[in-house]
Amino acid sequence: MSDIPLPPALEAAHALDPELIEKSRAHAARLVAGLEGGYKPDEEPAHIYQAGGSQ
Amino acid sequence: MSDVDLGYLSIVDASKKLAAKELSPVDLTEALLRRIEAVDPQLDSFLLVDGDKAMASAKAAESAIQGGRRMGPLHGIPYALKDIVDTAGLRTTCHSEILKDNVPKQDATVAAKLKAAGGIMLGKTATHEFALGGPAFDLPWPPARNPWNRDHHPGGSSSGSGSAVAAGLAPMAIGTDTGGSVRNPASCCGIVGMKATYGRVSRAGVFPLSFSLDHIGPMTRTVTDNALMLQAIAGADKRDTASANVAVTDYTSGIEGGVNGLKIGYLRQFHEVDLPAHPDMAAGLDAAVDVLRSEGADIQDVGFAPLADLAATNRVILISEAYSIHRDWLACRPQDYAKATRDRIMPGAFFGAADYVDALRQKTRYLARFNKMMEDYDVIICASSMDPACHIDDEPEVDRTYGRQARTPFNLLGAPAMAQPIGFSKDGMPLSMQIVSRAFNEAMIYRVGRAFERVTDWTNQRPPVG
Repeated sequence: MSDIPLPPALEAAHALDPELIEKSRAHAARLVAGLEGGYKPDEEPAHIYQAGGSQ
Repeated sequence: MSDVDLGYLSIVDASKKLAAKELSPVDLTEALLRRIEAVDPQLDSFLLVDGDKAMASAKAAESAIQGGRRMGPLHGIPYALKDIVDTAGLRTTCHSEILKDNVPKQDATVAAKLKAAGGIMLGKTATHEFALGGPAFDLPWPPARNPWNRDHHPGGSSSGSGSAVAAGLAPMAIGTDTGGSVRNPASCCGIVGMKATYGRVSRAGVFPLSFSLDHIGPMTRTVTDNALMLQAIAGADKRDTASANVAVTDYTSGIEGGVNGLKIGYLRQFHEVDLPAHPDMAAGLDAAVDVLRSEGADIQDVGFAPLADLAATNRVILISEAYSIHRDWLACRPQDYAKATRDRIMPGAFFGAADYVDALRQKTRYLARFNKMMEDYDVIICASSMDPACHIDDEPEVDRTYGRQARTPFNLLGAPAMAQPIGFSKDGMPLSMQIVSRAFNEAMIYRVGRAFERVTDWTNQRPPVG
């Protein structure tokens, strides 16, 4: 995740704010670290359009 | 009645007066338009006021009511829409340079529903840019201010809706909530904000922030007003892929039922362990729970997953989806976004596909835990914000406090959650609690909120804006 290179499409944003890319990369890494991990193969993702398992 | 008194009239009271022909929709609308003109220059809560159309709608409502064709409790009641909600023929900017000239051809479903209920649309309210980046001072329009102290921020992203309702410029407004953006301004501005169950209110025609976390919600000054507004906007919609095909219950018939005998979980872990709250907020929450206990509720402490982990899961999903939406504009027009918006979306470039899927798998785990917990309780009480609203121009403090909240878990879980005022901090800023329940149990949340409101006076307070 954190070693994903800068997408070429973001070069303009990078030029605008050179610190943004590294800050964003670090922030993304912190957020992913907040996931518990260790998902078993049969642990399925929630349907993205789902409330309370009711749909 | 004076313009000020008309400004703070509840929907329930205004509706009674309109039905009895003691008040005209024209007089009510004129009074609110005068208040907006007089007060809003202090608050910047509106991006656009459509006075001519509002007056035409008010005259039509007056004629219909006089002719015995009253459509229901919202007929003749003015409202405002967050400016990410499409309005046919009326500019919808998302508070952004990117869409500053955008004029939709079709109303969002929620706008069409309020119109069909006979509401009077006053205008479009300020938001954080694309419901994400703010408060920001580098956009075409200034950020909204908090009516309790205009030096403080009003919360966001539905900042203008919160500010306008609290200041008595509109009795109801639409907000949107992806990580807490109805409930944050409700908390900061001392009003009631409901994020109903995911899929309960159509998202069609509302600019997306995160497809799987976006909710549309009512913002009002009182609990019963909020229930009336949700009643008008809830329901299945073929235009919305996520719309729930679940019958809409009557949100007001049991609202006076009280809390005697109800089982309420007090999730103090969020504000005592995970993110220790400001002492005024913590004391306010304990006092609110004591009120519910004194009304007969059976209160028990409950625990749940760590707030930081819940928030991280929400953010991986939210930012991934937001980045997908904004990637092309970020590539060719980055300078047209506020710095705050770029800062919040750009991490989405650095999540891998597996990270996004893992976050959705994590969501499955949390849903199972939450649904199990809710088998034992009618509602859960927890903090909304951990801190009263800080100064709007204190960027470090805004950054520090913005994530100190307990709202994102309920976007992730799709569970209904309402923010409600519970008092004031020592420096006069509103305090709030959240009432949460299982999916599609909004009526129970309103019942608990109303029981609290009935024996307190927090929803009758007026901010010092004239």
